[in-house]
Amino acid sequence: MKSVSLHDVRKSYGGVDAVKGISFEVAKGEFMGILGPSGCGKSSTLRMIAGLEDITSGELRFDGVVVNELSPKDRGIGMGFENYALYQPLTVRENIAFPLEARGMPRAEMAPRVQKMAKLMEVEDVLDRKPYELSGGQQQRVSLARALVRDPSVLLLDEPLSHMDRHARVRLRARIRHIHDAIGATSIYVTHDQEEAVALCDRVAVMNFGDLQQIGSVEELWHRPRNRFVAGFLGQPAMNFIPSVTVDRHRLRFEVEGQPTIEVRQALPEPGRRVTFGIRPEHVRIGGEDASIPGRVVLVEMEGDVDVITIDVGGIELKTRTGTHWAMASGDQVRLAFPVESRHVFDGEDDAAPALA
Amino acid sequence: MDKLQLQGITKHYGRTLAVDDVSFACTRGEFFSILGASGAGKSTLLKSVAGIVQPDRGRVLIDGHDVTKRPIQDRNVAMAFENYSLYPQMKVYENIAFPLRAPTRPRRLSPTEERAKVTHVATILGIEPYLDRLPGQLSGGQRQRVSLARAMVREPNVFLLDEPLAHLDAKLKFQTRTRLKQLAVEIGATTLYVTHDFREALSLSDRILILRQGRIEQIGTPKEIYHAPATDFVAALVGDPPMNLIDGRVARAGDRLRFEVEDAPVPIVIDLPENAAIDRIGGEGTVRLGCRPGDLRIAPDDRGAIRLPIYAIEHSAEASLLSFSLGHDRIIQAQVPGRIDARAGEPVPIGFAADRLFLFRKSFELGEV
Repeated sequence: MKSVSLHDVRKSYGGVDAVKGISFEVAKGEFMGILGPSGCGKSSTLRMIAGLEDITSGELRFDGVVVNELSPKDRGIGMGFENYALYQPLTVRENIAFPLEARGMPRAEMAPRVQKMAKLMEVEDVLDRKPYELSGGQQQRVSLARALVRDPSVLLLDEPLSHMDRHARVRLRARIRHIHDAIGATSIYVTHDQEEAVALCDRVAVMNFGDLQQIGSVEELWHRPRNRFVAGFLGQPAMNFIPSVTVDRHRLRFEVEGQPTIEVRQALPEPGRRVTFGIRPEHVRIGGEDASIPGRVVLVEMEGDVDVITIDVGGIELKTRTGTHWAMASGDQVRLAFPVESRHVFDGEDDAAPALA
Repeated sequence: MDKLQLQGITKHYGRTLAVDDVSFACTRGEFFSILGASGAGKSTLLKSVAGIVQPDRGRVLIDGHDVTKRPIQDRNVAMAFENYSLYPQMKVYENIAFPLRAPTRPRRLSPTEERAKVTHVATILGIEPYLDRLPGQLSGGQRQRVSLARAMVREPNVFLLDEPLAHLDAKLKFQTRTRLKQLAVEIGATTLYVTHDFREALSLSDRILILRQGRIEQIGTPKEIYHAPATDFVAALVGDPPMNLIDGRVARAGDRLRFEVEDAPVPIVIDLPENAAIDRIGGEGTVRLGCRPGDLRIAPDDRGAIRLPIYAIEHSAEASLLSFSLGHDRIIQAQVPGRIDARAGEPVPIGFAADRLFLFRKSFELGEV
């Protein structure tokens, strides 16, 4: 396994930039996610790393060596796709051995490697079966075994779980993480599913409109999003945003009925500036001593062990995500507290608005 | 009186039995969901109420009147489909207003009344800015909301909604779900809602029917379905992360009931509470134990805690998810709040909360992952 680094890598199709000169490094043994909505450039980025797309400009390096001109085969990539594309006429054993056979490895050398991979993926007892005799999860594991059997430079995973049923998906996710740790892989995982990226990856690169929005650990992205887009993209339900105006250096006024003001730790720009206040549903507290923002319960939605409560605050709706111990009903008057360490402020009103520190 | 009743609905397609003797009733104003996998027969039930599918046996009653043989237009039901079937040559406004202009309406609305109704529904569903556009100029998600608005504008007897949020991305799905619920409450409509998404069913419904291969598996409120699943099938379908299901044997040891997992890497023995309803599942012997990931504890001082190495560890912003391998193809998971300070491979003690365990009779094979 190797480290992977992108240096101002750009991809354009007919003059339009699908990927706008992005740079980041994935350390050897790291599990990196590339996350974003459809059309954000994440798949183009992955395909450039794999060598399936030409790089318009910039450099791609494996262990510091530029590989722009290397063919996919020579880059030594292991790919795990959403559709596992196993060879149906071949047995599981032959499928796993295929990449070794293609390189002309002698049989004696091949067998122990296939065996080792099959053991790791827990498919030893189905080695002589055909793919169609396996469950979806087993096929997926065979596909991973095939991707990893020749000790690739990097493991690339493109939405490998999106077609699995829920019960299997969460468990297979754990398997992928286990395998990554067990072989010390360098893994790059592309997904539009923020929950999946957050769960699996050491660090996540968030993309939008072909540009890197932020790269960081889940904690960084969650607690210190760089702009409004990143803040809103991670989390379900999404962060609550309240249009606001700055009052002085550490106070702003919500542009809602009643115009409550609130203090923030962030250093605010000049008074009278339009900003966005942000608070995650997980951090909105109902009641308690310091609860001062008045609101009215609009809707309580049960989601299992948590309730999502929609609360009208002066004409805009906020969501909270809480345990189910609250006996709340539509129409209830409540007071809300926003813990000071969980208050976010963005300098502006659109997705690009940067977070204030 | 019940607003909507289905009595013994049975439907075959060729030799395939799609719906098998399904009966239920919805009260006036109730939001009633049918939850199941694709192919379970959900849409067939909905279409029998709409009059699009004629059941082989059974009756559909609306307000106590048998409408089984009545044509679609005489039932005063409104339906929104997963595929939106809008009129492409009409503007969004005209599409939504269309049902209000139907000749079967008792009274023609004035243009002002019509505009007020259309605008109201469109505003709630967030498509008010697009009223002057053609459907072809909208995204899939926007079209789906137009289709929903068209169904909801006419205040019919019964709303029939077939996966109306299916094409929306995660964020929009969440928003639209809330608005849909608000709209249904506001209108006081009786709604029959088909979905495969347990979150939608839990959050929207007064009651949920779980359909499995054309048959009723359970009917209950969201709380009943979540906290007292009747079968392992319901347990696996509802909840996130999905409930752990572990096959093993229940045996008496002195005055205690114990659950033992066979061929696990370490002996796994769980003390069951005295009141464990093992009679309901056919007494001692092979059973399936259910436990939600959030109900497993990582607790060093727990009596009877099992020590297992962490198979994989995943962190979300507010919780950690630990996976453990119970031998071949069996992974169980524990969700703990906050960020746990542990590493993959490290053995940790796992405690099972006795009062949060479920016992089921095994009704399906767990898919190998």
